[in-house]
Amino acid sequence: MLESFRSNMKGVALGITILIAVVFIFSGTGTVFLANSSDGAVASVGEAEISEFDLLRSISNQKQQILEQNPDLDTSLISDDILRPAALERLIRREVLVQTAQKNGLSMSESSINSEILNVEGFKTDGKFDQDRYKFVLQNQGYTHASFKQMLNNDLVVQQLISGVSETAFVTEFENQSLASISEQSRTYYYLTIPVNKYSSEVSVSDNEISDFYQNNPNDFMTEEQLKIDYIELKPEMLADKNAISEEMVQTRFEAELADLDFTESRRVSHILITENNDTLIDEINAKIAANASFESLVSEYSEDFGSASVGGDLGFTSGETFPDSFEEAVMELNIGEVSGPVQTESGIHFIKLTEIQKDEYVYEDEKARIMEDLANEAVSEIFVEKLEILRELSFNAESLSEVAEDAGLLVKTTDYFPRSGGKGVASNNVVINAAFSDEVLVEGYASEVLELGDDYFTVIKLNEFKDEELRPLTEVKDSINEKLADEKLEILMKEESEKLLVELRDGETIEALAKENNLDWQVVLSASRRVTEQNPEINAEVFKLNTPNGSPTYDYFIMKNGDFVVASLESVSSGDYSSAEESVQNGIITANLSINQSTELQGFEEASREKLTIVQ
Amino acid sequence: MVSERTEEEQIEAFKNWWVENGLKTILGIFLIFGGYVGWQSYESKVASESQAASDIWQTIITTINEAPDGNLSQDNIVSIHKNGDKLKNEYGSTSYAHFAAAMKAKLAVEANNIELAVQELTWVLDNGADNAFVPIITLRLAKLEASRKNYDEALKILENADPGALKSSFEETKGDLYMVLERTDEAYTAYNSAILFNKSSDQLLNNVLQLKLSQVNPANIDLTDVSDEKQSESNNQIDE
Repeated sequence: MLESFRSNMKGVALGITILIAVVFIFSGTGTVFLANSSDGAVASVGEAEISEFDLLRSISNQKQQILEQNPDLDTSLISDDILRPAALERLIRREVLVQTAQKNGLSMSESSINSEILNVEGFKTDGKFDQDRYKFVLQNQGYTHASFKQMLNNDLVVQQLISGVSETAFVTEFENQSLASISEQSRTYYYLTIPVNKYSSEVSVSDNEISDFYQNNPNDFMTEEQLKIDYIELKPEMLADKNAISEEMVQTRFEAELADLDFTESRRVSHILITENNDTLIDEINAKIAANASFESLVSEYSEDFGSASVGGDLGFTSGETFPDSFEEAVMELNIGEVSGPVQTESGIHFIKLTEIQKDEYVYEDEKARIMEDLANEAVSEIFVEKLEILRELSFNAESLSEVAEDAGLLVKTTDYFPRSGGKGVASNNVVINAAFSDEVLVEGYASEVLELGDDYFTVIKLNEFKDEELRPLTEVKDSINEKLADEKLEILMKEESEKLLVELRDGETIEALAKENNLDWQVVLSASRRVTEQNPEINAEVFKLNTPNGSPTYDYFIMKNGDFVVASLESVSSGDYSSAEESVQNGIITANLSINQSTELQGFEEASREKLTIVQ
Repeated sequence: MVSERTEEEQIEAFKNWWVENGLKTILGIFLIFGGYVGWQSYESKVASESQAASDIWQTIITTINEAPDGNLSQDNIVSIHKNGDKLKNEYGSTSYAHFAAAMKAKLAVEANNIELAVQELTWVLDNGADNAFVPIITLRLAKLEASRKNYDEALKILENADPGALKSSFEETKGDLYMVLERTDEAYTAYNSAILFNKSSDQLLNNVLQLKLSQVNPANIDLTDVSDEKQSESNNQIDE
C-alpha cells in the first residue's frame, strides 16, 4: 500500500519538475541568470543596467579600432581612463535606442538573425561561415551564443529604428529656396584700402613704455621650467659583443644549419629516344657512345623525339619528379657529362646525358655575418634578463645612478636640459618625460622605476638638475616688446582713422571721394557672388558677413591678414534663386539641407527618447 | 515535545489532505500553466506579426541601400510603395507601418507629388506614432505646406504643435516662413531662438543658422535682448 502510494507521488513530483523546466525553457529565464552574473553596474538606463564588463569590452574594442587606424600611436595616449567616458556614453546611447526600438515593437525574425550571423566577415574562413571561428570569436568577446544573438538582434532593430527616422528624411523646394536666397545672393560694394605702412613711421615706442610693459607682464617673459636627467639605458645591442664570438663557433653553427637544410638539386638532361626495342640499333648507339662520339651528333642521327632533337636532345631541368621513375633513377646515377645505357620507359628506349647540376647555394662567407649576430644576440638574451633584474633591484632607493651602473656593468648618460614638452633623444620619449616631471623623480629625488620604452628597451632615470622658470632679462626681450607695442599703437591709430572715415561715410561722403581726398586706392565690386570669383577673396568674405543694407548702405571696416585696413560700403544685396541656379549648385544645396535634416531629426528623436528614460550614472 | 506519529499516521494524514486538496492543486498547476501558455501564444502572435512586418521593412531598406548611387529605379519605387502599403494595411498598428508611410511620403516628395506626401504624413500622425517621432513628422508636414505656398497653414501647424526636442528646427522653419511673408522682425526673433535652442555640434547647421540670422536686418530689435527671448519662448511653451 505504502509502496504504491510513494511511487504515485514520485510520478506527480516528476511531472511538476518537468513543468517548471518547461516554463523556464519557454521564458528563457536561464539566460537571464547568466547575464546578470557579471560584475557590478556602472550605469542604468530605465530598467536595464550597463555592467563594468560591458564597459570594459566596449573600451577594448574602441582601443583596437583606434590602433588599427593609427598603428604608430603612443598607447599611453589612449588609456582606458581616457576612453571610458566616451565609451560609457556610447553604451548609454545604444541602450536608449535598444529600449526605444523594443518599445516600438521592433524585432527581428530568427531567420534574419541567422542569415546575419552567416554573413559576418569575421566568422568566415575562405569566404565560408566557420563554426569554430564563430565560437572562438564569441568566447574571446565574452559572449554566449544566446547573448550574442540577443546583442545582434538589438543592433539590427536599432538600425531599423534609425533608418525609419533618417532614411525617410526629405528636402522640400521651400527649404532649398530659403537656403539659395542666401547662399546664391550677390552683393554690390565699394571699398578703400589703408595700407599698413601709411602710418608705421608715425608710431614710436619709448624705453619707458618698454620697461613698464616688461614689469607689468612678467608672466609673458618667463623661461620654461627645465631639467636634465641621468639615465641608464639597457638594450640588447649594448651587450652584444661580436668579438666574443669565435670563428669556430660560427663554423659549427654554419654546419649545423647546413645539415638541417633540405636542399633541392635540379639536373639538366638530354636524351636520345628510340621508340622500337631494336637490339641492333641499341648496340650500335652503345658502341658509338663508348667510342666517345659527340652526343649531339648521335641525337640528330638517331633520336626520334623530334621536339628535343632540334636542341641537341635537351629536356631542361628535373628535380626528380618530372620524368618516369626509371628515367629519373638513371639520371641520379650519372655524373655531369656521362651518358647512360639504354633505359626503358613507356615512350621507348632512352640514352640519357646529364649536362648540368644546379644547387641552392649555402655559402659560409655569405652567412657568416648573420650567424655572428645571431650568436651574439643569443648570448645577450640571457645576460639581458640578468641585467634587467639587477637594474630593478639596485635602482630602487639608489643614492646615485653611477653606482647602479657600475654594479650592473652599464653606462650612465646625461641629457641636455629639456622642458615638459620634451627634448632630444631619450628625452623625446613620453614615458621618460612623464617620469622625469613626476613627484617621485622631480620632488622626492628618487630614481624612477625601470621604464619600458619599447621592445627590449629599458631605462632608469634620476634627476640631475632642475632649472625653475625664471624671468628673462629685459635686454633679451626688448626687441620683441618694442615690436609688439608698436604694432598695437599702429592698430589703434589705423582704427581711429577708419572710424573717422566711417563717420564721414555716414554723413554722406562716398568711398570714391574719401579715397581721393586721402590718396588711397579704392574699388567698386558689382554683383559679387559669395563664392570667390575675381574679387579679393578676403575682402569679399568680410563683406558677405555684413548686415543687409536697410535704407542706406552698410558701412564697416576690417583688418586684413597683412595688417592693411579696408573700409567698405555695402550698397545692395539681391537674393539668390534656387530654380535658376546651376545644377551642381542645386545639388550642393539639396545635399546640405538633407544632411542637416537627417542629423537634427535623428538627434531630436534620440533626445526625446532619452528624456523618457531614467538614466543613472 | 514533538509528537511522534507513526508512519501509518503520517501517510493517513497526507492521504486525507490529498483527497481534500489534491485535485485543486493539480487543477491550479494546470490553470497557471494554461494561462502561461495562453499568454505566451498571444505574445508570440504579436512577436511573429511584428517579425513579419520587420521583414517587409528590411526589404524596403535593402532596396534603398542596394540602389546604385542611391538612385532608385522605377521598379524600386513601385516595390517600395507596394511593400509600404502592405505594412500600412496589414500591420497598421506597428511602428514599421509609420516608417513605411514616412518613406512613401519621401518618395512622393521626390516625385513632386506634395498632396500624396501630405496624406502619408497625416496618416502617421493619425495612427499613433511614437511621441518622439511626432514632432519630426509635424515639421516635415509644415515644410510640405510651405512648399506648396500655404505659408500661413505651415505656420499654424508649427505654432499648434509641441516641438519636443526639435525646438530649434521649428524656429528655423518659422524664420524661413516669416522671411517669405516679409515679417522681418519675427524672422529675426525666430532665427535667434533657433540658434539659442540649437544643441547640435553640426558645423554646417551652425553656419547656416548664423547666415540666415545675418541676412535679416531688423528695424526695431534690441540685439541685447536675446536671453529674455529665451525666457519668454519657454513661457509660451508652458502656456500652450
